[in-house]
Amino acid sequence: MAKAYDFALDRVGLDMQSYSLFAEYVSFLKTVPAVGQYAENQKISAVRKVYQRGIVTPMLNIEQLWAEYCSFEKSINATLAEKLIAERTRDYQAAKRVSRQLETATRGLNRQAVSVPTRGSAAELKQIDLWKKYIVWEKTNPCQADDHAQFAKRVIYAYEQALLCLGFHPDLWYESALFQQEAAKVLAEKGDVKTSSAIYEEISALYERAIGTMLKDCQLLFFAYADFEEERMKYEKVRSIYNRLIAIQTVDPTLAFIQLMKFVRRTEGVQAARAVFKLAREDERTKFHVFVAAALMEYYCSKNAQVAMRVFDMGLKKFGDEPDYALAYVDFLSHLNEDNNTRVVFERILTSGTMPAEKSLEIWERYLEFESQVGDLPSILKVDKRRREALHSEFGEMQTLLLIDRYKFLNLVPCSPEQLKLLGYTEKQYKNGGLLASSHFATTDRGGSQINGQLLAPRSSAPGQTGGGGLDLTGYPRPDTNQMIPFKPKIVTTSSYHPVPGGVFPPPPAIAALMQLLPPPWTFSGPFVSVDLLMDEFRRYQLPDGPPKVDMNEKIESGHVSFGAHRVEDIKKEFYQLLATTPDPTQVMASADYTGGAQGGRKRKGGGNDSDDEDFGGNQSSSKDVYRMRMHKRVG
Amino acid sequence: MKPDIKDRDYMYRLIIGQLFYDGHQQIAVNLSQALGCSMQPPPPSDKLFRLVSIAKQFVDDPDAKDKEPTMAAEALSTGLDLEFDADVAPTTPEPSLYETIYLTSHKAPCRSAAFNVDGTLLATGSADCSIKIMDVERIVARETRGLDLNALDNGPDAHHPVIRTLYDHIDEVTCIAFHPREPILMSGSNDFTIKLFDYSKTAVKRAMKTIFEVEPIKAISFHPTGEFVLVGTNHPTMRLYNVETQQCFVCPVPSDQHRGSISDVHYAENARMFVTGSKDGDVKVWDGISNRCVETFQRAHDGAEICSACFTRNGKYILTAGRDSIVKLWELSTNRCLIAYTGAGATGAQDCPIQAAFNHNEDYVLFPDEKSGSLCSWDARNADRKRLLALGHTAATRCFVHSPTQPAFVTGSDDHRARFWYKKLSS
Repeated sequence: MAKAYDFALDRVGLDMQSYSLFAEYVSFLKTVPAVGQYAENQKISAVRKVYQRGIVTPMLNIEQLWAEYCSFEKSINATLAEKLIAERTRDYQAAKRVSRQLETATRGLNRQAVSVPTRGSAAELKQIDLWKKYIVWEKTNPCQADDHAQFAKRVIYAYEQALLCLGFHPDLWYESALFQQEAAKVLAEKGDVKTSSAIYEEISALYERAIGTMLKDCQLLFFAYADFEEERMKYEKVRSIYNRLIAIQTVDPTLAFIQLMKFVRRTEGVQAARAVFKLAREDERTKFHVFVAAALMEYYCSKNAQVAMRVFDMGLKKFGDEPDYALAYVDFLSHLNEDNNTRVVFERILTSGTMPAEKSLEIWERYLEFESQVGDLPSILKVDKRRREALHSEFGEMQTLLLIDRYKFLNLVPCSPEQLKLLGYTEKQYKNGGLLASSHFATTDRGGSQINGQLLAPRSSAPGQTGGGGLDLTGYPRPDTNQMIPFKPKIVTTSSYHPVPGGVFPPPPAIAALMQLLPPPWTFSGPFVSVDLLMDEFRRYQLPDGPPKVDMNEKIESGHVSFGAHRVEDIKKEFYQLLATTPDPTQVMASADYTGGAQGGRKRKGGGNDSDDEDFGGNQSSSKDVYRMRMHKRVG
Repeated sequence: MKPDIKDRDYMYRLIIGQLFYDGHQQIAVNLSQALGCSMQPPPPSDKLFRLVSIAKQFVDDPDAKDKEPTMAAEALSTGLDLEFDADVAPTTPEPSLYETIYLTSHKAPCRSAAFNVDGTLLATGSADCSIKIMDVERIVARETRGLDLNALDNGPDAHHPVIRTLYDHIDEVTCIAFHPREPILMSGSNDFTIKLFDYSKTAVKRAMKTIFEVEPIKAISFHPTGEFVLVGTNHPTMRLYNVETQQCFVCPVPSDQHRGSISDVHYAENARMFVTGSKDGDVKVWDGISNRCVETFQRAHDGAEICSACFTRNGKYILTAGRDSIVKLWELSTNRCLIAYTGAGATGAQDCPIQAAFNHNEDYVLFPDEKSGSLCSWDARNADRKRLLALGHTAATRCFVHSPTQPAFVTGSDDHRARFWYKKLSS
């Protein structure tokens, strides 16, 4: 029973929630009947050992465990307890501090989550982020363990926990293995061979688990595993790993075969690698890459160009319609400086008729380039002519463009960009650019682009159009505000033409932005325009027959309609001065200056309250009215 | 012999469920009595029809092996989906087992609350114009680890659940919503404003942005991208604001709008639709792209004011609550009321609007009953009433929100308190 507990502590004793385990273990030990002094002592020391192990492990409720431990020691031997507890306090404090940090580091981690294939949702990304943060935190060695094994154990445990929840992330598996590998290396250097070899075994087991369960078809992990085993010189095992990967029907085995070939070449030499190549040839799922890899291996490793060429030839029979393969072949040949052979191969590829016309464009271009590099003018012209003929169906009368192709070198072209645009060359060049990036898409584009004539335009607008309902990158449909009408909530909307009640049309965005920049209406303290007077003025105004002339007199007459802010201030000041100095205010009130102003104010008020500043003007004048009334009263 | 009886029982349950689903309640009840179904009647379900159509297809065309896996979605659905999993037993703890593990007081009635998307934060708003943001994990940690945390070296603040208090409104906070992506809280108030708070800063008190309205705000709902927000006010017109530019948009067709003030608005989780409930008694379903109304359930609660309306996770159903204390589940594919959860409000009619909600995996429907001060809960699938849970508020419960991720909910009341309820994992 104690063994079972010990095993459990070994396995999950590092966990944050391991308090209950410790507590149960202790209570179990305490209940074990012990007869005789010796057994009693044994029991006490066993309990003590568990406690001491517990209080240096950062976990939740560590305080409680500590308290229990203290009381336990005191109950046994009060004097000895002092000493023992004092000894342990420092360790406990450190563990407590770390457990505090641990709590913050693991906050938000969802340990109950089940591994599911990744969907890239926000919550999932957050979990990954949190787990990684937690692992990084563990890697900083927060416990300050001097023993590397102890430290490694904690980190490995963190990885294990993370893998339970994020089992479909190959990066985590790999990182975990890598860390263990490094830890094992460090331990081996320190002389702890036993632990390190145990860790090595565990890494194997880890990889086995990864490729055996959730990531059955993750080639990356297979390769990483194979490399790891190769490092440990376990070649048989590597072999079996590759065979397992190749045996998976759903995975394209080409890359696996290539890696296997490389591995066999490293360990057993070229002869054995050829056997692998043979195997790969027989597997009908493999792509042409195997041939290229095998040929290059023959060339670089056994220094035998003839064999390499034979391999290429063999592949050409099978993959004659793959432009990428053909290009790899001719590249290889032209690098060998075998002009005649290269030409023969070009001819073979182009005349065999296996390659569809739209795919052969690339080959033609390469052929021309090759000829202009090494051939004489007649052969260049000959190839050029044949190329035009071959591509006539596609490019029609755009012969100049093909000529440009003939003279260009790398990204240098014999025309200015403007000329190219005029000639309509841009789209073609664009296609070729895309072709370098991914041949498959470019070749399909070529067919389509000739039909709609312009390639760039539909491409750039495509993301917007495919949305239809406005799908954005996050996958959520977005409200299409073009189907709605702008709205500005307002309480009084009697004068509004807005079809939907409760608001008016807002100003256009640009004007709204300007209005936000302007100071608010209540900071405007005049001059106020009396609209009625102004309109009167307009009505009375006789349009002059000739061009407008500056007439000083007229301006002065209508001056009170729009006097400036300074003028208003002046008048106000005068008025208040007069009020303060005069013995009889009624006289001042009766004066023409003031009544005129008040009337103007009242008129403004009547003129409509559709804007704030006018209301404000109205209020001002009415307050003056009150003031005047009071003045009258006092006089009366 | 045994499995045969079992299969037959299953078949009869399917038949009865189908009858319920197709609206033949009386026949279904009679049939279940006649057959002597020992258990309670099964929930309404379309499963039989689906099974029959699959079988028919198979009989008609037995060679076509690669049929689209019609029933494959069964394992994937997590929420309520009566078409597939109508007859499953709830897996989550019954709401009556929840306990209050945290209680916070405002200075005035607490009338709004919200969880964020992953259920880690909680906000309550009150008539005292303040908003409190609480860390759910801290609340739970406090409970699970005991209350002896004040003696810690980090000081008491490090574990205090209330992480922010926001004061910027000048009237009652009526609705709160968390931004789905950013650390932003949006609140609507009776002071005619909507304010956005950036709570990532520890010292935040004031809003970083204010949208000025002209009516008291009633309900807000963020678009799942967080770029737009729907605003319901006392005015019947439904508004859509662009959060960034603060531009406001409305549906161009006046007849699409409600006739009374809007009481609740919710986007569906996939943002394709949103639902509004109004005081005019109608529930409207709107297209999330054009903001046109696509469906109206007129007099959804027999003319009673609608208090809340929200979608299920999969967007197939709508849960509404009315002032008549009845909670109804509407099916969108057939545009009708599928289930009515009755029994609340038996002790007296409610005076204040209150929301109905699902629990976090839509096994239960929850609805606080005002007069008895307790929480009514039903099995969401077969409307079976569960035990009541006394909410312990001394005044009417005014807001009720369930966490989207865990067995926890929050209630706010006119007794100024907000209670956080939680189902402890064990013991």
